[in-house]
Amino acid sequence: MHPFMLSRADDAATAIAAHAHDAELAFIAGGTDLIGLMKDHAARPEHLLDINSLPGMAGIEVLPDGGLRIGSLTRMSDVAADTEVRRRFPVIAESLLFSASGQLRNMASIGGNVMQRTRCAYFRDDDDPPCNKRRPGSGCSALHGLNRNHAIFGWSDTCVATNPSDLAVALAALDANVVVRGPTGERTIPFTGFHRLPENTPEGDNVLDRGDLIIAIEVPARIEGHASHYLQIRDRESYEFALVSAAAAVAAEGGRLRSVRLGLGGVAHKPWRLTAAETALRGVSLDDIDALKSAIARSLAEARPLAHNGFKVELAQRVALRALQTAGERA
Amino acid sequence: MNAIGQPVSRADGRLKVTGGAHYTGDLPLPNLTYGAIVHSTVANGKTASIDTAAAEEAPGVLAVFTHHNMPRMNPTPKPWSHLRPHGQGYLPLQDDKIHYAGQPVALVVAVTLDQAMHAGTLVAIEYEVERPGVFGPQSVKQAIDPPQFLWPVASSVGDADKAIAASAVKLEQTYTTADRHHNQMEPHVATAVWDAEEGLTLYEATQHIFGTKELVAIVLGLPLEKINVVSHFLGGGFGGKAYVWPHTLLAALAAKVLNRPVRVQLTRAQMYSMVGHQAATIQTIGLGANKDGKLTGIRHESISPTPVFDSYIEYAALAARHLWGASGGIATNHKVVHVNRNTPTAMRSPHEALGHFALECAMDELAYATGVDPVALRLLNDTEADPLTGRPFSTRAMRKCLTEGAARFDWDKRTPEPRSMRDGRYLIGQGMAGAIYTHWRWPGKARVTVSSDGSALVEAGTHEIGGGTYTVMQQVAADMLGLAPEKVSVRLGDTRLPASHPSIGSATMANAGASIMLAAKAARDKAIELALTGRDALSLPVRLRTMWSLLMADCRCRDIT
Repeated sequence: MHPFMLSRADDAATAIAAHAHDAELAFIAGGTDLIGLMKDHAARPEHLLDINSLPGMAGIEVLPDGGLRIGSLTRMSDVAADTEVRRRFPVIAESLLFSASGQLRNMASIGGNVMQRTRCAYFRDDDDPPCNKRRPGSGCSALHGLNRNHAIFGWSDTCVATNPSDLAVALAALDANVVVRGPTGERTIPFTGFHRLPENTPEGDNVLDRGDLIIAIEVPARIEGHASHYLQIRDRESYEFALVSAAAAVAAEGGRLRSVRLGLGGVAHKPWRLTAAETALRGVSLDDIDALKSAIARSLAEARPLAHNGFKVELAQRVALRALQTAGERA
Repeated sequence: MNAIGQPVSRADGRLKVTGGAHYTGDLPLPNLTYGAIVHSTVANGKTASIDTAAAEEAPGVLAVFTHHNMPRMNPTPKPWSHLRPHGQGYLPLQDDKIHYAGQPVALVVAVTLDQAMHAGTLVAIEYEVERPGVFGPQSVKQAIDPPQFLWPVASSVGDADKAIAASAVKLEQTYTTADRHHNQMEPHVATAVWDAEEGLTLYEATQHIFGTKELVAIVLGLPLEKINVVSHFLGGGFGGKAYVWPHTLLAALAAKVLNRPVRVQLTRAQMYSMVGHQAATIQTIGLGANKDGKLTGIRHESISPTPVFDSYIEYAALAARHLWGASGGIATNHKVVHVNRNTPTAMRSPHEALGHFALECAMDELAYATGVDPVALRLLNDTEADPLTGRPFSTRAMRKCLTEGAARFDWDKRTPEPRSMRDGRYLIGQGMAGAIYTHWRWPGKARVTVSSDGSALVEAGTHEIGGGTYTVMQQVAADMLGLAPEKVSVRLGDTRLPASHPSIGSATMANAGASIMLAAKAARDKAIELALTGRDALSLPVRLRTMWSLLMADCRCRDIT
């Protein structure tokens, strides 16, 4: 690990100013991703600023409209266990319980969760193979390498990595918002616009700038919130990232879907909403499996699998269908 | 008060959950230093240059070793033997060659682990790279006949090819298995301490203290009385810690040069390269059978990778030598492909498990080809005698296992057509396979001491590899001595104790356990004799108490036997 300085921030304004002025500074909350990146030399901050003591950034509150505000320093395990979260948005609690391990969830913060970096093995490789995320301009080892775990949507020749966060898929499906405070004040970023596609600058995972600090995640009340489900399929049954995952939330009447929110994880550089499928699913009967399948397939037509991950297209279809059916059973 | 079979707490449970059990990497030692291995990032070639200047000047660094300044080692002994077992025959930091990715090319020793690891990143290495040999489907053409390693490379009974050719039903299938890594929770770690009088004490995460002692003594040129190996607790072995790997030799020599204790622990990433793994296999199975499913011939061939410098064989085709009978003949063979990887090693369950997977998949195909139920097919082809030698098995419960298992599983309710069974929305399927495992016998010594205060001490150079050896040996001795288990102390994992065997092959209880049982029985007999005759040595109450408990134990053991 590259040697670094550790200090603690007591107020947000100072932390934000420090981050804005020092390009070698990184915020640290739970540290469950950052420390691993530092050990693999995929991150080399000179200065770590511990933000765990910042006031007012931990905890969950119910908003007047029935939505939730989750402070960015709230631990994953606390969110997963929260009664209001489980009742109003089961998809959030379930996505968290599919993530990491009990020990990690006790440490990891919600803000850090949506900031975690890709698990692409080339990006994480301490032996430093070509990787545009790790060393911009060096090339992408995964594009023609082992890319079984990589993207089928939205990738570019510079990067085929996927975003590893399960929670992010649920938050994207629910159209949550990220509350960010920066040097010029506070702003709200729609979750579906928070992460970005690699294009020609894959080193950037999201739209945050220097000096930006995530204060909270806000999830507005959704009629589909209660009948929601998260399903993750992975190579082993625990402590593993998704091959493909799906977040589904539905509102139904008389067995027919009134509205649907559907997102996939493990398939792109960002959580991947199936908007074409969402539209096509309106009015479809939950018992009509063929109709559900063909509606989902509309969003998968644009998939561009790589040499080793062609199976993800069919898997995505099935995972989305099962998540949708399970959510439908709760409607 | 039989202790065996009781749900007792682990003798070392409290120590383990409170952090009091010192695993090799946690053992506090005065003046300890830490080594970090810098490994090759290429798979074949040589180092053109290694620049250690920046690492040497980094904070806390005591020394940087490369092949230029690491003391020379003696070659590993041949032939390979469990008694002096090297993991890989190519010794570290002895020349500029690179034979596999992840091979040690430098060792940085520093005052703290963090300093050593950071300095390791400052070692700049230039390579001359050559194209590496790799294993894959194309390897079938490059496979060669290896020299014998653990067992004969090939075997045949009857004429399998002729029998298969003449069979009413025949099939040939190829199966592949991938590399598997042990990835024990506790990484490989060695701590070397030199003493002017006692020589080398090696605290080693090993399943084989006496083998480590022998091998390290040979490679370092030490007399056996100048080396001791200690392994009190192991965080998992699975066969991967049974032999000596490069980091142990590096720790021992670095500690000697620096005259300070040196600890070398592998990183998780290094657990995939410079220590053993189970090699991939490409296995071809040929089966011939009558229409009713009776086997006439079995052919089992396996190809596996081995390094350019060693000739390890993954004996997958052992499975066909012992599993089922075939009237016309059984032939097995192994081939290897030399590749740029480290030497594979035993991994539970070595050899058999991979071979059983392939052979039993083929048997499943045969069940479908003949229309015979898979359990009935196995019962039909079960064998009373070992097909290879014709000798009876020491134990074989295959028939009972199959019938009992089928009954408990409601096998008769299974429908064999694919996609024909459902559980709600889910398609389900049921399948079965047979397996056998070789039973290992090794000599093991143990010492049991009974004290006049009613306690006893068990000492044996076996290992606690995570399975509970301290507890079971306590139970064995307690029952033999007629003592409560908590009156029995157990000391393991030190070559200064009576010599025992490697804790591999699921054999510790059957071998080390037997030696402790017999030693406890002998100690009990001696104590009874002393209680009866030793008026001068022991007080009357002690004699009476000893006699009573030991006689009761004696009765119980007669019941058992």
